Amino acid sequence: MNKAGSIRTDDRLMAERLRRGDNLAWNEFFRRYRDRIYGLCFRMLRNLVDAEDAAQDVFIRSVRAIGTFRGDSSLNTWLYRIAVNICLTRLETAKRNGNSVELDPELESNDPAPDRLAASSQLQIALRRAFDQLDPLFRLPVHLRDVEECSYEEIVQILSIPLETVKTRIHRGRKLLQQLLAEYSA
Amino acid sequence: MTDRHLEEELSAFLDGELTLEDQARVSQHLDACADCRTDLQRLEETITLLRQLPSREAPKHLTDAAMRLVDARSRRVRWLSQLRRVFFEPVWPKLSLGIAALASIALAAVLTSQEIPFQGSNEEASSQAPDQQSYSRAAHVETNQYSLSLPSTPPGAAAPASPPLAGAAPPRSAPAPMPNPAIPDISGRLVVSDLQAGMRKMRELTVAVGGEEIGIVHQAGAVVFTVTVPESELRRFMAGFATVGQWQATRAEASAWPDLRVQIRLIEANERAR
Repeated sequence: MNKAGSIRTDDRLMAERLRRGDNLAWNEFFRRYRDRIYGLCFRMLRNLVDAEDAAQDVFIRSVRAIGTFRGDSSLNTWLYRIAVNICLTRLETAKRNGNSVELDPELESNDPAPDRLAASSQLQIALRRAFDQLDPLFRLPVHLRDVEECSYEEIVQILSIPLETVKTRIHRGRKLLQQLLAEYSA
Repeated sequence: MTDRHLEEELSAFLDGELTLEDQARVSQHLDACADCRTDLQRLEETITLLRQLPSREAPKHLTDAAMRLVDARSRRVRWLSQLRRVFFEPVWPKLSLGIAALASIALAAVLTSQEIPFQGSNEEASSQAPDQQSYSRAAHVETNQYSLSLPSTPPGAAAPASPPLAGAAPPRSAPAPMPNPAIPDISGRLVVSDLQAGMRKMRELTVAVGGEEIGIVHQAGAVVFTVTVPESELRRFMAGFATVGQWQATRAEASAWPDLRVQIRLIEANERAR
């Protein structure tokens, strides 16, 4: 069986256990995705508090909606899709209410200690700033590809956009980052 | 050198997302084009940088609320299983036995009134035994094969006085089945005068009670609309059906989940009359 096939089987077995309300399976599921979903929410919302709220919503929604998981996609894709939808709704609501959810990249240095240590290099600070300056249209596909290591097909499913659009946005996002990073290093 | 420089194909090339044919074409172009080779190298450096971005460690309590929900659901499922075992499972065998016994008595009464003299001899009664035995067996089948003894059956003439059939006992120790997520907890038909208007109202009603649309299937003259609705809002949700059309329930089962799955088949009134 190919890798994708075995992953699907693993996901189906995991989903079956989750549906049965197996606590161990849920613990494993949360442990596996906690940091990734939090990272994705932060990348989209650029605010630690909002990212935490949104990520909590994602996991609660996953418990409620596990019955609707049909196994057409991987659990990974299914959960990212929930996360993207929740974050987009929050962004829409904030925009409608005229609230800004933007966080000055300078404030990122107020992150908890492990993060601050990791971000101590100038390069990493520059990277984060560059990422934050990207238009969300490009930021999200690039994050999914280069940070989460999703395949193009998975990104198509998560963002519900055509494959050609995914290709274009990933490439343009990377090119923009290239320019932004060149500016920082200059 | 080919006609134009490569663009997004470069990213897709690095990501291994091109078809074999496109991959060969891009490789061929790169061999001949120094500009695109430089572009590819810069792109590769950028990707390497991006992968150095440290992952964010989520707060420890991030999934606590979700885990509490899982626990609450598990407890509820266990509680309902026990409830089902205590109150329902023993009742069905008893009811089945009772119904079978009543049916047998009724049958026996019919048979005796039609074919057997009211005060027949033992031989006469005995001659009826095979028939009664066959009814007795029919009763076995109809009642999940619980052992029955017909009151009018003479000793020795009825079905062999065997102990209850092996494997026929109710599975008292087996765990109660988990709710199947594919089966709605509540389903029914909603006859509406206009399908489009009916759908619109149902969507508004779903949103109003904090429900979520999870499926929609269009059929000729009908739409199957599936939603999940918080249990606490079910009454309000179903009360709203009266403002949309004429509701006729086909299934309603208790669910172990806080969100109930409701499937509504909206049928246009003239379609129904057809």
